Amino acid sequence: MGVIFLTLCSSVNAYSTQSIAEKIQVLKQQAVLLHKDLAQLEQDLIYPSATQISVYVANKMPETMSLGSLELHIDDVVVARSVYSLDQNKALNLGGMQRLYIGNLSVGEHRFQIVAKAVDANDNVVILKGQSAYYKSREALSISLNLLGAQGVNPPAVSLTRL
Amino acid sequence: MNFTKVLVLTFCLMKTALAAQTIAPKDMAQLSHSDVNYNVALFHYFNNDYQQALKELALINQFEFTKQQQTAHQNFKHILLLSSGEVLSPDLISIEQDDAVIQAVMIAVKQQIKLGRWTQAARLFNVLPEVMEQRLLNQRNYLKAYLALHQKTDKTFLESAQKLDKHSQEFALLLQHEAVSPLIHTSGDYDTVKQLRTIDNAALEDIKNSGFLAQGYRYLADGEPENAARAFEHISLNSLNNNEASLGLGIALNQLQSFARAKVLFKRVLDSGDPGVLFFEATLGYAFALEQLGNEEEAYQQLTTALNLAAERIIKLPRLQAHLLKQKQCIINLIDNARLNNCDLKGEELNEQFISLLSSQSFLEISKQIHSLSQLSMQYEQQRQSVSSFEFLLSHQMTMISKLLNDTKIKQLESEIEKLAAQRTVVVEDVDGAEAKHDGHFFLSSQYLALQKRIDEVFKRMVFLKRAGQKNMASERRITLMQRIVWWHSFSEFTQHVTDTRQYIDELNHQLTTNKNDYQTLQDYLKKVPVMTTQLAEVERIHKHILEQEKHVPGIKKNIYAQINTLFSQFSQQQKSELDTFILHAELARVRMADASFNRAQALEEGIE
Repeated sequence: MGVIFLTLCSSVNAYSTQSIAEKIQVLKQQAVLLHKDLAQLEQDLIYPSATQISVYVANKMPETMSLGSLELHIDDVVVARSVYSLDQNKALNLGGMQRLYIGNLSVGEHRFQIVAKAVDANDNVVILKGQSAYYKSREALSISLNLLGAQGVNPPAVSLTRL
Repeated sequence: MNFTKVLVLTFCLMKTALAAQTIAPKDMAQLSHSDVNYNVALFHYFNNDYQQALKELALINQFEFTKQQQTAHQNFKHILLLSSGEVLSPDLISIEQDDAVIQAVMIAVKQQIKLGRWTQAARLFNVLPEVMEQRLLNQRNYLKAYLALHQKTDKTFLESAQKLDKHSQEFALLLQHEAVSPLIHTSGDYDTVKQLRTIDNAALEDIKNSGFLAQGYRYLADGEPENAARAFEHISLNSLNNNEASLGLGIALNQLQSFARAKVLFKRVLDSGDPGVLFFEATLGYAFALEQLGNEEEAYQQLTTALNLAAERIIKLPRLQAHLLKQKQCIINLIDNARLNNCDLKGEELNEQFISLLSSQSFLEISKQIHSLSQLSMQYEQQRQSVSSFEFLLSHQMTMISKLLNDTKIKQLESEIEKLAAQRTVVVEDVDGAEAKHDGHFFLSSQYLALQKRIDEVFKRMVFLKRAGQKNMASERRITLMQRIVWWHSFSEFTQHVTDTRQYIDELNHQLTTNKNDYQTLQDYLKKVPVMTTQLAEVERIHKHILEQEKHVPGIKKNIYAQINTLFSQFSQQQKSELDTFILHAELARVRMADASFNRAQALEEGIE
């Protein structure tokens, strides 16, 4: 923190010899740094590792299937819903993982349910359902929702795995 | 999965992340937690949400990263920063012979080009190594040619274009780029056009034709009709430049005294019905060719028709001037309000001339100025937006800090720390006490206490029996054994209890440390507030500065208006002078033909006499 403070002070002193664009740049960088620190602080305060639960989405369905929407229930309560754009589908197909939900859960057994809606190559809506139960210990719990399926081999399905 | 494997996998995935859209991690099944964070960053990168990707990347703990992993992490960060519009030195990216990184840098170059940041794109391009895989080399040459087009360096462009695979997507993209044509067209450089001939591709036909046309006219101006004719002959007869090429070739052939061929070419121009200056130039050439071929009558007729047409045009000139006035107003309006439908672009004949005005060099200069002015305004707008967003961000952060630093929150945190400290003291005292008198019954559960009580009672009864002279050694031994079992159980439970309590103390200590750190962080943020206030003041100063700069814009606009006025009056005058020149040349030709005809008639008469 002290280093950041000193950096900020020295940046402010250097303003007088810089152009406006450079000054804006310096200010932007400082804002980004500050934002990063705040985000980390927020993460540490709001989601302590003892109660943290994160749910990620990974898509391994064929590219002809596009994901329309997804709903996550924890202990029969809807905690997250997401509707997917073309760009997001593309990002998932390319191997990106979406953080669908981050929250806090008490230690103990919890039930996870997932309902996904996808559209196949013939414009038919396919509803995929999956559920699983996990024990939440005092360590952070990360779960991956995997949308699976292979063109002409396996029908699309959804599964939950602990990361 | 052991830790080394996790690190290796992390690094591989980082490199995969850098590979951008075309390369994605194939296997997501065995990801560790830190890999997931990279994949989340990757998700936002693919989704073009660079700020969010950067935020995710910032949250990744780089503790225990190897140097190589740190480099890859930094490269990914810098590419994200560049993609999100940061003005960053590409020198920060340390590239290695790694296809994935090379491809990621190429994508970043394309993004810079898309954003119009040519200097940044060129500097980033220079980071790329010279030697790479053929598939990537094609992309590299494409980018090089693309950058050369912008920098208007024919040589580099041609070199790179020649190196491209002629059937590749990159080659097609290059040719589609609208900048290709103007570059070659305006150049007309002999060597450039010569080199162009070596590129054998149908898609290049138009570009080659433009080059040859410019070259032909340059040869004509240099007084080299033979070379000019050769250049014009290269142009395909079906090309869009047909009229201009035919006219040029006709003029060259007239100069080479090949009048029969020249006549056919001029006729083609005349038959095409070109309403512009080409028609008059072709008429002059056609008449000259006819005259030289001995068909003076038709030549005379052609000139007379064209003269009539020119006279009509001169009559119509005031109308054209009025039209130009309107268009001038329209151009001025366009500067303030970029909407094309403000202009009346109907009326083919008038607009042919208006378009020729628009393509004149002076107007191009003005357009450049207008363009610069719009860019300046956009930059002001961008700066203003940056300042506003920054101001918003700053205020938001100050609010957040104030929220975090409000008295209740601090008091809560302080009381929690005190409470935890007190709890710890109690627990520590309890454990210490229990350890000191571990032979006592402090640690016994009610079940064992009850058992102990029953043992004591039985023992009392045994003492009574003993006094009565009865001995029961077996019972005594059983009692002793039972006593030992209870003690053993008690001691086991006590050990477990001590272990649990110690663990609890550790947890309390950990919690205390965390809370104290949070408290310290909050105090640090408190120190940042004065700096942020200074920043806010600086933002306000910048805002004022931008406003001051904007005051100069109307002055510049006024200058441009004045230039447009001058240009439009010059153009009107030029139209008249061009038509006057044609009339003069045509009249002279007619007089020359009349004289020649008179002389021939005279000679014939004298011969008869």
